Amino acid sequence: MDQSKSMVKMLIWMGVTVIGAAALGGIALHRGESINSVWFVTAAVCVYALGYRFYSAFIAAKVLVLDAGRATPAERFNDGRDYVPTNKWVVFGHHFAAIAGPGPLVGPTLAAQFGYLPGTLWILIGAVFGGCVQDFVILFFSTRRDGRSLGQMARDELGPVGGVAALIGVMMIMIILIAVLGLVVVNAMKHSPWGTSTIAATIPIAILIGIYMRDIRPGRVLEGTLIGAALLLMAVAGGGWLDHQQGLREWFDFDGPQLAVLVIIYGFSAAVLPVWLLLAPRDYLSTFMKAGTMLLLAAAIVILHPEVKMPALTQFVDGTGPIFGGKLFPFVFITIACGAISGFHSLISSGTTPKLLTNEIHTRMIGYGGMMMESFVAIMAMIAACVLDPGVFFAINSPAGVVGGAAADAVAKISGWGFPVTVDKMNELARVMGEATLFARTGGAPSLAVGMASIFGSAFGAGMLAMWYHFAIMFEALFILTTLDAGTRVARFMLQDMLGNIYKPLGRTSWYPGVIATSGAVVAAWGYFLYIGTIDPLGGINSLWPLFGISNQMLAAIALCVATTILVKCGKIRYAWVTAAPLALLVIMTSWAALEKLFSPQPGVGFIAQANDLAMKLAAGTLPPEKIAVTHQLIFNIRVDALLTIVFLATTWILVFDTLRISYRILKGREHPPLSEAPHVPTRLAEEWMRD
Amino acid sequence: MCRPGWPKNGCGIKKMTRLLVAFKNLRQGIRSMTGEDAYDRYLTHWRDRHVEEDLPPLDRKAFYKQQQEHKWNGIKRCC
Repeated sequence: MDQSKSMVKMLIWMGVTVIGAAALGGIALHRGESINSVWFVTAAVCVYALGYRFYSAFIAAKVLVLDAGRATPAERFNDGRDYVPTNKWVVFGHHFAAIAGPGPLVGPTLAAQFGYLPGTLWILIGAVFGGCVQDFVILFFSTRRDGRSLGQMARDELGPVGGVAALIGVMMIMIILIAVLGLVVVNAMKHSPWGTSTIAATIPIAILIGIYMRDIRPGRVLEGTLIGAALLLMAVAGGGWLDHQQGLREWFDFDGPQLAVLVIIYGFSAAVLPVWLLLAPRDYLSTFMKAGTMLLLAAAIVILHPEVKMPALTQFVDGTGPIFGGKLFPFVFITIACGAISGFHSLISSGTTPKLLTNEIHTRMIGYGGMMMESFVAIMAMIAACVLDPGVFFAINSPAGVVGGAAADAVAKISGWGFPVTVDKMNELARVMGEATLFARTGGAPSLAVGMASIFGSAFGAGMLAMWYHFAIMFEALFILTTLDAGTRVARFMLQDMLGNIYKPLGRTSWYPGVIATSGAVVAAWGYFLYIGTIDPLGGINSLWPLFGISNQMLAAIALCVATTILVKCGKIRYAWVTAAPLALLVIMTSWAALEKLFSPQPGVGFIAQANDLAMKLAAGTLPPEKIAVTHQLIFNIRVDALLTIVFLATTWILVFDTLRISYRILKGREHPPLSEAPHVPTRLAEEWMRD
Repeated sequence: MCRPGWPKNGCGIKKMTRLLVAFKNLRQGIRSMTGEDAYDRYLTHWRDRHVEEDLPPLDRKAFYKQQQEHKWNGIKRCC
């Protein structure tokens, strides 16, 4: 009986392997007009299933040795607040809601300029061997250390250098992240009264729901969220109405720099307002919308299985791409950060989640499984971007500075690359989407929205394309703005924490002048990059997204350094490759990309070359007078970008050397920071209880 | 589920209770996933651990406000 059962299981897994290999092979070797998206979904599901069943089981049993009989921090410190033993599916839901942001939607859309293949492969391989492993091991190590944060673990296990590096890393990634996400929203709202008014309406709606949840029906978050979601849908429809009202639509028609200023004002207000008023209700709404839209998109893709029209590889693997400069290697690795491996997740895995676990064996499902889900979201984003005609995709995403400001020029240039597109086609597309134009909407949000609208449109009624488009824009903007609020607050707390050491009152979160000053400083920092991004002729995304990718991968490197050090300390050097191998790949690719960003002679790639190029143009006097001031600003900004890249690079390598130093000392039996694992306490939670 | 050998009328009741249990589980799952039950959980915790202290438990509104302030004190959302 048992034997035949295991035979059946083995046959099933062999089947999964064969189907997965066939689907992957199909994607990789296909060179035709178009390929069906069903291959992508099949390949992804099989790869994740195999990764979860075998690789994560190996890590759980051999590398980390999960112990079901050990009490978790939630059980030991149960305070009904931070530390609460919680049902594993509920923790999974919270964890996924926390890690899944706009990153996995934007990255794959941008990386589609290389064709669908490189991004898809990196999302799958990177997740199974990198991202899922990182989230899993960090969640586990934090659980074994009373739920301590990544920064604290870095300090405990590596020493003060590691701790400071982690702190700087987190601060910088926040600033760059918020700036680049702000830029994505700005590019989606540019000269779009429908989009802008809908996104503007989300603010009063969130405030209304905030008041509802606090005063009218305190704590009834489900009710409040449902009402808010209904209002949001009405706002999308209302935006469509407003767009046709002459005299009213002009009030919501802005260009990039104006929108940047508005987003900065919004960010500052949101950071100093009480959380219950704006941030908390907005987060409930965005989480609800995100979950709903993701399920809808997954259902639509599975039912419709649309054709992917992007070629497997484009000529832009050589580094001449219009959306961002740089060759396939190493730039695909920093363009798709979230979705393959995202260092930011290690902050969540060592934040709230470990304090909720009932049993440490759940770390596998929540850490490894949660990242698998996020990776699948990235695959869906890749499909949504690639169902567009490549010509349309490039017309939407190429900045005016690259293809030319006039529609005819842009179309001629893009068609010249071998991706035929016409002005009529773009105008017709803009018309059905309810926009004035879709040219030069760099950033990923509009092209993703067009892709999603066409998928939703053919699944649930094509007559509503414009509604679907603006729904998608609203949905992306909603949680980008949540990340912006939440990120500004966290960066402000960290800044207050640091400055509190210098001047005590600044550290107090209740001292209002301190709150205003530190919030202002944080907003000014990301606001600067955001504003410059909107006046940059290359689109801003071209320089900001790689910086974001580099900083995110650097954070992942810090997390993997900490994990590797712990493995070596536990005497598991035999298995240290589990974290050391992705660490090595990440450090090599990120450093390579950082060096390219600094020293590449191509002005679209290298910061120094770009600054020199602009300086030469200034000196030659070929620039029109109105551009001279902007060019000075741009040159200064490019130098700031270069400096940041150097800081990221230096932090990463300091940490890598620190890891090597500590590992060497451990192996030689010399003095080193001791293992900071909490003592073993047997669990008293009965199996019955755990099931809830 | 209805097994052979079970009394005929008992079978229907079993089915009903099973459905009811499933529905209750679903409702509870949604409530705890969304945080709708946070105040109830707080009261249970308060009765278990803090009932002997002099202070009364927070009311719904005060609890909600404090919980939100506390929640957004750290890194809660990612890219």
